[in-house]
Amino acid sequence: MKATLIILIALIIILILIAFSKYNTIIRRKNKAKQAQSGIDVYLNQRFDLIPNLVECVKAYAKHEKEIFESISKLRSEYIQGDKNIKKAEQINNGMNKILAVAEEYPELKSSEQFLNLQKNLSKMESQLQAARRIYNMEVTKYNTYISVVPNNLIADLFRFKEMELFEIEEFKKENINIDIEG
Amino acid sequence: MKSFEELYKEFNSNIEINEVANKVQEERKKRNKLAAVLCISIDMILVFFIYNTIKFSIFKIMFYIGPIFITDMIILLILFLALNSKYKEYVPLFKENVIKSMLNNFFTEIEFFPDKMMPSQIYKEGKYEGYDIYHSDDYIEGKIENEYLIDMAEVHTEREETYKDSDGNTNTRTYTIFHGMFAKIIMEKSINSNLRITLNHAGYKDRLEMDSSEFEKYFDVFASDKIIGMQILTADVMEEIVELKNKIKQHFDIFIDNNALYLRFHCGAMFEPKMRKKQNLDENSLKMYYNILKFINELSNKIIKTIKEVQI
Repeated sequence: MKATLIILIALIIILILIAFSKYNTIIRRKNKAKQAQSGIDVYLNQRFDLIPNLVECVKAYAKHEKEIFESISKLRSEYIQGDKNIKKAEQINNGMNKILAVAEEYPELKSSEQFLNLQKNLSKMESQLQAARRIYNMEVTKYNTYISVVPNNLIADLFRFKEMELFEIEEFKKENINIDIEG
Repeated sequence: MKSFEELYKEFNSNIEINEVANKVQEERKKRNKLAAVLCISIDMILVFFIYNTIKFSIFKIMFYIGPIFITDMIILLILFLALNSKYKEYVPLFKENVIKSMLNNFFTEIEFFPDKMMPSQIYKEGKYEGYDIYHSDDYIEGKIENEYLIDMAEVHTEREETYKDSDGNTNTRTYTIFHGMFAKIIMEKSINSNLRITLNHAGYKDRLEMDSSEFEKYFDVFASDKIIGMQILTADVMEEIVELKNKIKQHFDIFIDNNALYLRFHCGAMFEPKMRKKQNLDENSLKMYYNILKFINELSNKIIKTIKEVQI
């Protein structure tokens, strides 16, 4: 009877230690994903900081696209003031892509020095953002997989760990954007 | 750029090389015949002597096989060293005509120094494993696409290890760290960091996990700047590196340090002439040299182009 009790206690201790180990691994993976996310934030902020310049540049040529300019400026303000989520970032990015598509329709604008510099900076940030996105998505996939498989999912459910969202922001492709220039 | 088949056809129709190669083949046949005759004669004398001086016993006969074998080896060694003059005449001819043509096929402004060593400082820039002994030859200077300077050579590095044997004597042994082709290319643009793509389980710092399982199977990536590492190693660059690895079937590693690209191929001796009985120019070894040079050219161009396009 005594031996059975000792074995039972030992088993419980082992299970608790395994649970601790799993918990710690989940935390480590989540932190890595968050670290990767902060990397994306840096590049997104740099990219979104170009919005005022971009709007000013294009506005001079396409005054009638007021709606797009106002919408993206508003989204950017909300983003800066704390509403930093992936959906918001995607909306802002889509807005920027629309403005760039508008710019494509004006040859004079396309060849202006200010716009060319902006494009160069945007292109650089796009490349860095893609790289940061790959790192982030890799870390998030590892984390999501880890908390989904058995028996880690038991620990994850117990401590209410949720899956994180992947970052799917699209790079600027003119053919993906439909703009009514005449509107 | 000519294909291997075209180059091989040209080499085979080179009269000068074939003349000397034929002489080398004749010298080898003579040496082999002489070796066979000498070894058999001396073995028969030794066996006859041993049989007459000792009583017949399998154990005793086996005991004397050792000296017979050693005698054969000594004869072969002496003949190999003595009857090798035509081969020594052939090697520089081979390098000047065959290897240099191959180099000119891929690179421009080639200067080829078969007996010259690449300065070890250049190899050390690659920040590879430490070594005690450094050998190098077949030093090549040239340009890729008439633009980017390239330095290449066969490099062999070794480590010395002292140990005590069972009698308590201190001995030294050497073992190879790296033996193969090493190349350094100066690029137009600097990545302002470093990036290393190497064989799995290499012990460098700052490992960067890649999002391609196929690539991760063969290579480990180490990058001082993860973002730049990811910017350079896009999906199609990784795919191309894996494709080249499957084609070439040799271990290789890539190191980019600011504006310098270093390539290493773990392929052993390079540019040494090999012959078969009915083939003056061994096709397999020439094909290997061709593929490695082609790979250096293609991979360098790919990496230089990628870095040019990446906004750093």
